[in-house]
This record gives sequence, C-alpha cells and structure tokens, in this order.
Amino acid sequence: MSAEAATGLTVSMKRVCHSYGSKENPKQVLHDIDFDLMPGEVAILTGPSGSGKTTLLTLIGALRSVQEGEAVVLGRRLRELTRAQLVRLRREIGFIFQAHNLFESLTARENVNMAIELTNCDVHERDRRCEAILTRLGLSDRIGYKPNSLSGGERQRVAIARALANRPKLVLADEPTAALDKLSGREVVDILKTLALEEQSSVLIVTHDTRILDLADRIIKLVDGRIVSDTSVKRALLIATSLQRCPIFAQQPIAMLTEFAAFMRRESFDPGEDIIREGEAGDKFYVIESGSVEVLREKTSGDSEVARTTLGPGDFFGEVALLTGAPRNATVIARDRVEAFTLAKEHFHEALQRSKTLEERLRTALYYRS
Amino acid sequence: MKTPLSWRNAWHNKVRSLVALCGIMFAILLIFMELGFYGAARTNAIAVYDMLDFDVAVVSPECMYLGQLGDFPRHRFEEIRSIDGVESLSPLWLQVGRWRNSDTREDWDMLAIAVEPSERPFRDSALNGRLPEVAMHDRALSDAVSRSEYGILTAGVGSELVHHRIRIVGQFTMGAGFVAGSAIITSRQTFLDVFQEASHERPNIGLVKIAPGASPRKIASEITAQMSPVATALTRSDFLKNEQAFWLRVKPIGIMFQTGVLVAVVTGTVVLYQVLVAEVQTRLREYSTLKALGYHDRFVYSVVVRQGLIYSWLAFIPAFFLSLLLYLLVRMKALVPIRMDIGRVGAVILLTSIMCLCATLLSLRKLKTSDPADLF
Repeated sequence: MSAEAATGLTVSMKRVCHSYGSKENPKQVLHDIDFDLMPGEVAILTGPSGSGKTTLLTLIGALRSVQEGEAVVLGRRLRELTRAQLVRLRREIGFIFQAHNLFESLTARENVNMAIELTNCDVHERDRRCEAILTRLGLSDRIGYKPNSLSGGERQRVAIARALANRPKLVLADEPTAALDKLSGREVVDILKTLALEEQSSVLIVTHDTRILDLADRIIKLVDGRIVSDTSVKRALLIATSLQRCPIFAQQPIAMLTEFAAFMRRESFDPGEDIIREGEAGDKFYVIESGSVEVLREKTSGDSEVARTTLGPGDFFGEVALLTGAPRNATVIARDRVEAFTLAKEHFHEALQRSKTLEERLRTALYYRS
Repeated sequence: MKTPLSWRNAWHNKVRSLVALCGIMFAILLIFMELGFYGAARTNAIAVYDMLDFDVAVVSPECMYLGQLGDFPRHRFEEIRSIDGVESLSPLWLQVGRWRNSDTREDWDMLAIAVEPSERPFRDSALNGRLPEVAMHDRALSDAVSRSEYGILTAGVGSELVHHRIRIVGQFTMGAGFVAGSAIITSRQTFLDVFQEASHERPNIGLVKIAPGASPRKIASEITAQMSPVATALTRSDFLKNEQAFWLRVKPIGIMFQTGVLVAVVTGTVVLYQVLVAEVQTRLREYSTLKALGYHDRFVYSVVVRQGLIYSWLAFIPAFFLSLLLYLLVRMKALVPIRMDIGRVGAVILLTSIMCLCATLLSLRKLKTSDPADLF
C-alpha cells in the first residue's frame, strides 16, 4: 500500500527540518515542521520574509532534498526516491511561479504543450487539452501569441494553464497574484479554487495578498522556520462564531478571535465522560462545538444539594480556575458525544494580557456567574 | 510532433542569431579554405609526377624532392631492364631555370622536363603523341595554366630559358607547382643545350613500367638491391607520398595550413560558445523551469546542444556554397588546383561537429548551475 493510500493525504510532513550552509556551520531554516494537506484543500502559507516558506515549498515540490524528518508527497516518501524518481514526481505537481517563467520563444499554446508533452498522450489529445485549458482561462484568442505580446495577467494565466494542463493532484503556487491587478488576481485564485473542488487537487499558495485569504480552507503561518499557526478557516469561523455568542468575547475584534482559534485544539468526549472534575487544577478553557454537558456544583448553602446546569453548542466553561488560579469549582460531564475546542492555560493568559478590556469583561462575567 | 524548443530559441532573437551565424559561417569558411589550400598543396606537390606514366621510379639516393633530385648513371639501365617483370625504362631530366618574360623582360623560375621524344613517358597519350613536336632543337611545349608573370606562352611565342632561345610549339596542362610557376617539356637534347652542366648519361629519374601482374614493391626492392649504392627505386605510391611528405611536413606549407585549420576551429568554437553561453545566461530561468516541470537534466542539456547544432548546420550551408565560389576564384586567379571533394566536405562536417561539441560542452557548465529551486 502506498503512503498516500495509507494516509489519504496529498502532503504529509513530519518533523521536517532543513538547514543551509556547511555541515560545520549550518543555518537551520525549518524546525520540526508538521504539516498535512488534504485532497481538495486550498491552503495559504504566509509569514514574514525569511521565515522558510520558500524552502518548505521547494521541499514539497521535490526541488530540494529532504534532510531530516519524513515528507510524503502524492504517496511517495521523498527521502526514498532517486533523483530520476524525484524528477518524475514533479510531473505530477503543478508549479506556478511569481515570475511566470514562460518560454519566451514559444507561443501560449507551445508553452502549455511543453507540460503536456511530458505525459504519454497523442498529438490530437495534447492539442485538445491545450486548447481546452487556455479557453477556460479566457485565452482562446491569444493561443498563438508569444509572452512578449501578452499582458501581465495573460502571461500569468498561460503559466497557470501550463501548471494545470496535466490536472495535477498538487499545485504549488508562489505569489501567483503578486504581479496582477485585483481583478486578475481574483480570477487566478478562483481558477485554483475551482480546480481544487472539481479535481480534488490540493493547492498550496504562498502569498502576502490579503485579498485572497477568503478563498483558503487553511491558513498556515510560518515564523522563523516554525509553524506558529495552522488554522482551518472553517474551524476558525466556527470558533469565532461560538465565541461571539459568549458575552465576554462578543465585542472582540475578529483578528483576536482568529488568534484564539489558532491556539485552540479539538477534543472529543464520550457520553458520561468527565471533562473536568471539581477540585482539580484548571488547565484548559472549553468551547462546546457540538453535544451537551452537565455542570454539577455544590450549592453555597452547605448542604449536599447539587446545582445542575446544562450547556450546549457555543457555550463555554473552565475559565474561572484559569482566572483565579483556584481549583475547579465544578464537575463537567458529557451528556452525549461532545466535540469541544480547548485553549491551554498559557494561551488563555497570553490572550488576556493582550486585552485589558477582555480581562475586565471576563472578570465581570465571572462576577455574575458566581 | 514535439514542440521544437531549440529551433524556436535559435530564432527568437533574429539579429543575435544572424550575427552568430555569420561568425560561425566565417569560421567554417576558413576551415574550408585552409583545408582547400592544404589539399591543393598535396595535389601541387605531385603535379609533375602525376603526369608521368610509371610503376616504379629509379632515383639517386640523394633525392630529397623535385628541387633536389640528384642523378644516377644511365649506363646501368640495362641491368634494370634485365630484371624480371620490368617492361620498359625511360629516362627523365628535370631542372629549374630562369625563364624570361618576352614582354616584361623579367625572369621567373621555370621547370624544364626533358624526355626522349621517342618514348611515351606521360599518362596522357595525346601528350605522348605530341612529343615529336619537341624533337627539333629549341622547341618546347608550355604549361597552359602557367602564371601570368611568365607572359604569353602559346604556340609560336619565343623567349629565353637560361639565355637560350626556346620556341613554344604547343601546350599541355599541368598547373603551377611549388618549385616553379610554370613548366615546359623539351627534348633531352634541347635540355642539355640549355643546362650545360646536365649530362646525357646521368638522368634524374628512371621511369619503370612493369609487366602486368608483377609486384611493383618486389621489383622496386630488386632494383634497389641491384643498383645500390648509386640508385634506389620506389613504387609510384611511395614516390608520390615522399614528395607530398616533404612539402607538407618538412617544408612549413602543410604546418601552415594545419595551423590555419586549428585556428579556424578554435575561432568557431569561441564564437559558438559565446553565442550559446549568452543564450544560456538569458534563458537560465527557462531551463530551470523545464527541470521544475519534470524534464530530466539530459533533455535540458539537449536543448542547448541542438541549438548549437542548428547554428552550426545553418552556418555550414552558406559556408559550403561560399567556399565553392572562393575555390573557383582562387583557381582562376591564382591557378591553384583547389577543388571541393566529398572527403573535404566530410572533414569539414567532422571539424564543425567537434567545434559544436566543444562549444556546447563548455556552455553546459553554465547550464549546470540552473536550479529549479531558485525559481521560487
């Protein structure tokens, strides 16, 4: 069974490290990268210059040798491949460069043909595919033109046509919209998104263009060679929506909620399972995604009566112990299957530090809860 | 059909391509001319001997080349004729003397070839048939392709050879050689009258014809054994090879043309290298893109090699036709027997290929630096 079949992932990177320079004086640019890409997923890789985005992209694209860790791309472990096998693997990947890198002496049709000719298709099929992709990209009347007769947007679309002509299962794009105006840039990303949906291709885009963030399924942020956040946009949306329903987060800007989302982890609990127990030290903050929980707390009157509260999707709990440092004052039990997002204590405090307003509001909320 | 990337690259920048083609064409033309002159020198070196009809040549052991033949005693001819397989033996006298142009009164070196008019020493039977015309005193046949400095050398013209009156009675065709720009054929008697130091008894060459089926090498060996130390014998091919070797290896003529060929090949290599390396430099990102798309390195290299071959072949075609024209001009103006032959075309194709190979191999060093990872 191939690695891809085993994992179902287009890209899987585990503890990947990479260094430049000599053995005696290496400069590490990637540190323990763990990163997966699912079929049909559009991911945006962002981060400041020198953060290692390009190195990561070239490693995934089989353009550099993997030094440490395991990298599986389209079902093949890169470290086990020979040089010739790496070259063949590249034929299954669509590359889109910031500078289009078209062959200046060739027409748009011939540029695209250069990619198709790597596959074993006959001339008629080649021409049909070439015309189909160029037409789809709105270049049907520019097929016979050389790059120097095309506009910047048209050149980039030819480059995209070349990258997509063989219907790759993985597309790696480096700033594909950088040289384009807003409209052309939007068109380019729409095309990539459509490809991902129709062909179940995975698309990884390195970009600083905030205009296209809304099309991504995931946004991965790389800083100093480390993934500092790997956020599923759908998940972030769910978390932010849930948090906004909570009074204490309601008026926070979306950027802060997104930061919370980036730090949160998804956890599952079986029916009847204790999520937190009274008297334990607080270590996490919880937001319920689905299912319901029962909160059991002794009544303040001192008798053995227990107050029961039921919480459902969008509700949160566990913040009191984190704020006060006191042990848990209640037990929370899953009533049915519960999916919850959790935020570790250190991230919770870090977030509080950033917003006095939030902290005040939390304290107010706690006041009313107690 | 695959996309002809090399061809498209070769013609993308037309001005640069044309300049490149001109440079490479010039180098190939230079190779054609140098090899042409070299070939002409080979032909010229044996022009006289090539006219003569013999299987074995008997010469003095001092014989170095046409200009320094030496002589040997004629009275021993009977010993040679007595050797089995020897069919005939004709004496030949050759010497260079000063010929006076009757119009300009200038003197020029003239090769005089003296024969017994009764013999048939030439391969051209028509020429043998005209030998009786020179049997009379002071009569000679002149070379129809003599240089113009010798003046008019047609039948009826008279002039002086070593201050001796000679009358031209007809012409033959040989071509200017290295020892002299023209030649005449006279009788032995006229020759002895002109060159007083020459002797009837001491010819310069003995032309041996052998019986059909006899071995020239065996007979040459027997003659040498018989005549040693006063004479030695060489087969026709050895005799001609020795003469060519003298002019092409001992004298600087051959070295000069060989050096010329080398310089032309180096020039062509440098021009083609400059063109290709500029191409590689300009298109480095495109070559990296090919690698990123999944083309193997050898394909990427072949794009440049094919481009080099395109330039070389396209330059070869006009160079070939231009060299034909120049050969014709040189033949007409300088009377040099320079002619195109299939061997020379093959040699130039080979040298052009070597030139192309060297230039592309050098330019590939630059191409090896193209790294698809640098595209990001």
